[in-house]
Amino acid sequence: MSKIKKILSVLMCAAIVVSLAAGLTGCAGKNKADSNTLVWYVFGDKPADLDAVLAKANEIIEPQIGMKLDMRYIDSASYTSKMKNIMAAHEAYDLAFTGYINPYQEAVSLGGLYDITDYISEVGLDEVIPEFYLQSATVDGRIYGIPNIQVVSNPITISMDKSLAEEIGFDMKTIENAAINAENFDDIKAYTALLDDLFERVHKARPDLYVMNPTYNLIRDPFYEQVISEVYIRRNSDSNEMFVDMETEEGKYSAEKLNEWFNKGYIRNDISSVGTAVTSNDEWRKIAVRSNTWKPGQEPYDTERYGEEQVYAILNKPYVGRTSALATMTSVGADSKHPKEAVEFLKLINTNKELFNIICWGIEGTHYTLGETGHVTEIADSGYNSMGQNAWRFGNQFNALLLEDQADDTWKLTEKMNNEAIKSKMLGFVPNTDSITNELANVSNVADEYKAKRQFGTVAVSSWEAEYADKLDKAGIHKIRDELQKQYDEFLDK
Amino acid sequence: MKKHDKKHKLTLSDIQLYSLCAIPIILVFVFCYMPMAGIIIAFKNYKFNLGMFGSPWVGFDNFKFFVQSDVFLQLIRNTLLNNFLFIVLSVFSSVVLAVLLFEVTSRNATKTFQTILITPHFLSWVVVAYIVNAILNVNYGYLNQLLGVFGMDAIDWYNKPMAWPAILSVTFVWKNIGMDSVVYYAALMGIDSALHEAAEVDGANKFERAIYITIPSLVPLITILTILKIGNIFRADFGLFYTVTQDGASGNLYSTTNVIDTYIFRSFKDNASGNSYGLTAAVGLLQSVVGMILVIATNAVSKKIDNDLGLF
Repeated sequence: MSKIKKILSVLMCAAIVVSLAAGLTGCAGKNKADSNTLVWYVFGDKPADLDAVLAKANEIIEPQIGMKLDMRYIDSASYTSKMKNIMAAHEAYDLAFTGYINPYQEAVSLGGLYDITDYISEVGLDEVIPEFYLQSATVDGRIYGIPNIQVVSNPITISMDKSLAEEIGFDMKTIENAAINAENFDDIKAYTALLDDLFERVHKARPDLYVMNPTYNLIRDPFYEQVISEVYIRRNSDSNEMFVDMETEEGKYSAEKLNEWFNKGYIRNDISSVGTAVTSNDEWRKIAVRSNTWKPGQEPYDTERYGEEQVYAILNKPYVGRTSALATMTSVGADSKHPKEAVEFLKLINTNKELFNIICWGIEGTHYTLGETGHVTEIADSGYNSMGQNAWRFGNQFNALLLEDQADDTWKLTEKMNNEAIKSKMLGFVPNTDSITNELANVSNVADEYKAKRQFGTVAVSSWEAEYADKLDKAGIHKIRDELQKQYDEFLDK
Repeated sequence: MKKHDKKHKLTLSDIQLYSLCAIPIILVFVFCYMPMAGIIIAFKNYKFNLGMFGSPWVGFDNFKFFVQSDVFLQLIRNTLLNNFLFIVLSVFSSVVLAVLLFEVTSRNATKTFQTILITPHFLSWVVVAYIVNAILNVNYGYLNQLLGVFGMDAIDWYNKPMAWPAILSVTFVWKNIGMDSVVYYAALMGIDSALHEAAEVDGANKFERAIYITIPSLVPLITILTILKIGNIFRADFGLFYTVTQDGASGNLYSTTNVIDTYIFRSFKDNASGNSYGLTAAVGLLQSVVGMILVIATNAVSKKIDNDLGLF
């Protein structure tokens, strides 16, 4: 027995020593990257011709900042978790995509990003990026990454096939007008009555289709902006009051309406197990009234995706939310050895159209051809395809060349929409959540539990409403709201 | 047993044997002991830039979050009750199956049965999840089609939390019964056939022989395997509880299927709090500590009953 103890204790000591050593060497950092290379992580599948394109791009980059660029692709499904591991392991990468995957604010709060605030003015990046983008990216007065400029004000829309709209004789503009001009609860009810009418007619005309997809909450989302957790604020209102979604009459009304629509068979009845993600064109075509977001130049894509020309009802005025610009960003890694060069590169990629379009579309003649109007036609199977359509992965999308079927003024209209959009009063407000971490985790868990009931309307509201409110309260939703309200009031006072 | 009492000199054949088990020992050491220092994350507000050792200590705050939360009791209840059901059902059914297989005399038939029963063991839970969905789907599932034949309404099983402990148990047993019964079957092969022959001469029928000879000889093995399983009773099968329920069917099934492992995963994935590393490490540590206590306790209890029954 004593022998076993001895062996065990030796093993334990060895374990502790080795893990300490591992931790220390981890701190020392293992920088395998060439000291003259900027490493940039982006998500997606690595294009076959990446090396050739990078060589071409480096012809521009190297003379300007004296460093080479190396792009590393990670598939989108594992991008978030792999980037977390990379950050936790203190890998000395320089740039990485942050945003709707690998979330920016989370990476900042975990200490995974480099504070580039001072370099921004030094390098002059603030002259290139409009102020409200930088405002969105500011956490406690510091900036850790730059938004990749693209559409940030897209309104929520519902659309349906033109032929179906004609068949049932419905004018989508009536819904659009009702929604955009809705100012109070009565207006929202009137707008919802129009939705009811539309859904009923569609259901009668095409019983083989799902009437609608609950991806967006049509009664709440056009009118509310989420702060964090289950706390919301009204979009077009003078009131700065924060509230819990289900504690308002609109919130409750929207839950009841969803349940009514679910019971009437408007929403697919297996929604709780399949979720809201519509992943293929075939699935989109099984839905009659599709809720989605809208942006200028959307129409040809929708026609292709949905199989027919669409009629739209845009449900709210373009609106830039507190975190809209954070959906697509490029940030600097906390362990970067070349933060200044990284920021210089950020300026370069956001200003040099030639470089940006090499990264987006590849090499002219090899990967794409330019038409007479200066629009891109991709060369099929060229080893660098379908990259430029998501130019927001790399930088300012408005610098990207347009595809052949995109209208000349697409970027101009988008930029105009962004600039003229209503800006959230919360722009620049980044709540400090240190005192409410436990409450946030608990509320998030309660919200998960009631997701199907709240978002898809699968269960009668009366049966879960009280229970949900009680659980949220116990989880600390009111402490969260009060804390956020306090910080927001202080922010507004400044 | 005499050999062990002597002072033992390390011989060449010993070294050979040790070197054989060197790889598993190194694996256990590298993957189970070395990372153990990471436990301290459970007591910290972990930040990448400060590192594992430099991040600020928060004491037991990370545990408080979990223990005080409303969901704590739900998780404990679901994890324990579901796993208890699994253990009872799978031990019972695999022992019965092993005894039945033992009675099959044709070698070919035994092999065929075993192959068929073991096959589900090699399916991933994700595949199983779709098989279950093919049975339970509200629109085209076999079960609902069958209900339709009898003139009953289709049931949206993914919206009926109370049905899921049963559904999960059946799925679990179906997937594991083949592998479990092989172990018991192998033990049965070791029973001295003279016992059975003597009983047969004394006029015992097959049922009596199973009750008085086969089952008693399995008891030590059943005990050991049950101890091991009880040690893991706080550790739910993530694949089963997460994928087979289709992520708890968007929350509808949490009341009976949200277990500690899925909770850790979701908390970590959502990271609503900004300190998901610390919080989830704390929950995981708590789970392991309770698991270890349970192993020791079960072992002590079974040793009390019979000194030979204990695992260590």
